[in-house]
Amino acid sequence: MSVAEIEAREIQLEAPTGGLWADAWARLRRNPGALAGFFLVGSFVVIAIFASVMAPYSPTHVDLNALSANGLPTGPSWQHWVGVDQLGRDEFSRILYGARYSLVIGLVAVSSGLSLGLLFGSVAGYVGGFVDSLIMRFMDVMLAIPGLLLAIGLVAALGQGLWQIMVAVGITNVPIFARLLRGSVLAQREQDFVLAARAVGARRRGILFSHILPNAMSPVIVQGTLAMATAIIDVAGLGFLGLGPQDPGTPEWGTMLTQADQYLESGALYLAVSPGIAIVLAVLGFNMIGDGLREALDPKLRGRVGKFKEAKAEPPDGRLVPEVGESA
Amino acid sequence: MSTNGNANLVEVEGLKVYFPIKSGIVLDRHVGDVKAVDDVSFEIRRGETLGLVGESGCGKSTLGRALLLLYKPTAGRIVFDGQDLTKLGAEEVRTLRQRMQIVFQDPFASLNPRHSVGRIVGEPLRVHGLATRREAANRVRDLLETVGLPADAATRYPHEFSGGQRQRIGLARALALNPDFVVADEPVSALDVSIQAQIINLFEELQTEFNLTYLFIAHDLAVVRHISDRVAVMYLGVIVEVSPSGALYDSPLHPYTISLLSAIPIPDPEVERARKPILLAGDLPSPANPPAACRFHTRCPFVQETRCRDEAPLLRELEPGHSVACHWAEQIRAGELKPKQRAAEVVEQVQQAGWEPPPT
Repeated sequence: MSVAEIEAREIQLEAPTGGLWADAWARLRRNPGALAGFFLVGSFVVIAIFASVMAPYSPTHVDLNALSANGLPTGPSWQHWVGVDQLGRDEFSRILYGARYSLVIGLVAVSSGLSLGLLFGSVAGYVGGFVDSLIMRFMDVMLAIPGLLLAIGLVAALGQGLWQIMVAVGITNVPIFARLLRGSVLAQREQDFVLAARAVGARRRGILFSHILPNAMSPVIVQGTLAMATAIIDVAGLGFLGLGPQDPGTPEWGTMLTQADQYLESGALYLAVSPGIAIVLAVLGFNMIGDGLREALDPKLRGRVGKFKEAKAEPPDGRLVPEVGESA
Repeated sequence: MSTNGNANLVEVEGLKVYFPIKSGIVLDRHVGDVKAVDDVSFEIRRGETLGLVGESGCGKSTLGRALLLLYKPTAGRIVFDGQDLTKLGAEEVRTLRQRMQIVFQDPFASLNPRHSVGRIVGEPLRVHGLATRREAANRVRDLLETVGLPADAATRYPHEFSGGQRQRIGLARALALNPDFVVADEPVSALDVSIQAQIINLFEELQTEFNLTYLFIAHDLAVVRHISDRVAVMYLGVIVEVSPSGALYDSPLHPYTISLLSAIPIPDPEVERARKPILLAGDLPSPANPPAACRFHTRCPFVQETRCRDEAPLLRELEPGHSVACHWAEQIRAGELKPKQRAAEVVEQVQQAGWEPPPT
């Protein structure tokens, strides 16, 4: 039996592992951090969708009777689990509804930023030359302005409102994605399998879409998840700075934080803490998924399903490895 | 196979492939060229295997890829079966690609990791619209069988295969369109020795079965000797010697070839002890700034006071079918000149500030 026949037999014995995406998914499912992230983001999405069912009150229902005798917001009680705000609105319901704003604004902003960034980045990377220089220098100019500052400027220019926030946060994301993808496309463009595709006579567009982009997407997917986290913070930041939705009654987390500011001294700490916790949990969830994806999509871990624990395990014989600088 | 009566399938005349060295931030300034292939002429006959040897960085891969127009030639003619490729439009070249294919050196980089083997091998059929889905699936099955892989390999992905098996996949892809001409770009150098033999035998079997013409690039002289009918030796972007493979190994004419062959150990302790390898001084000079006149004069053990440093030697036929580019080839053959050990000579630095070798 020749070596090739033995090898062929070995291949038949092993079960097919499926494509790289399937591999990555299998690794992701075995990563506890990513699972926690999925749980947080999952709850966030469920809350955003079913806010009207889950919330005990309407987020804009003003109940002045719920305020204390001297007109200050009151803390947690059986009627209002997280207390009421300065107008007697139920804080818990407002947090639940706030998830909608964060999720929708974040999603729209990131996906628009991602699509524009993809377009610019892949054109710059694949076409190269003067077009590349032109696009990338423009992106550099945008990157030179701090993200939140750029968003503030854009909202100031466009006027306040929901879609203006989406546009502003989206635009700040464009150069990040463009840069990332350009680098990735440049790296893939020189690969042998791209040359091979040219050698068999594939057309330029076909090569870009079936060979270069699928292999260049991994870092973009990771960045997309992390950008969701940043977008939620940016939206809250804009709201906190008074550039949130025009109607001050909108239950947006950042706006709620700002309004809580005046009542902190009178002891309404919960008004600041509860939207804060909501923001932290949502951001944490996206970050954990992003980190999990980064590990799962890392080509160096290819084919190693479920080996995360072994990597961190102690030396097999249980001996402690002496640390550097430890004297004998 | 269409034949125009010409014995040569591929004819290359004065081929140059230069890679521009650019610098600048917004507008690129052209500051020089890496002369990867510099004025090369040769021909490949129908059904033969032309071996192409030379050390790393001498431009042999670039030459092979330029033949398939994967790199744009800077100057020169590439005539494939009577048609000058450099004068054809993009769509005509695309059609002609059905007749010329390439197998790459690195079997891990040349297959798209996100495509199944069936998709990889079937891609040539798909992009040329040559087969329906079912026909393509059958053809892929046949091709995999031809190169010695199980039919169920089609549903698997490249990372599930070993190096030798991946090279078989690459070969199946190259054969999908029934080409006449295949450039094998160091197809075995990345493989274990035991696997190398199998792949080379496969190349030979396929050549007989499908009447293929090969340009077989390698840096392993033994491999090239085994598979080639004729061998071309390349040094720093130029061809220095072309000969039938037997003659090249028995009576090399160019000093570079002589040095290369003298470095091969002989598996006989008696003979081996008497062997006096000619060691070449220094490294391959930079192709961005090659030595003037004869490119080998900075390292040549036979270098002479006259001609070598001021006159570029042309490839001339010394014996039937055996050409060499050396002014002193006759004297060297006659034993009038003796090799001498020499120190490395530094190439005069001309206009090259901050040049870095291009990524290979």
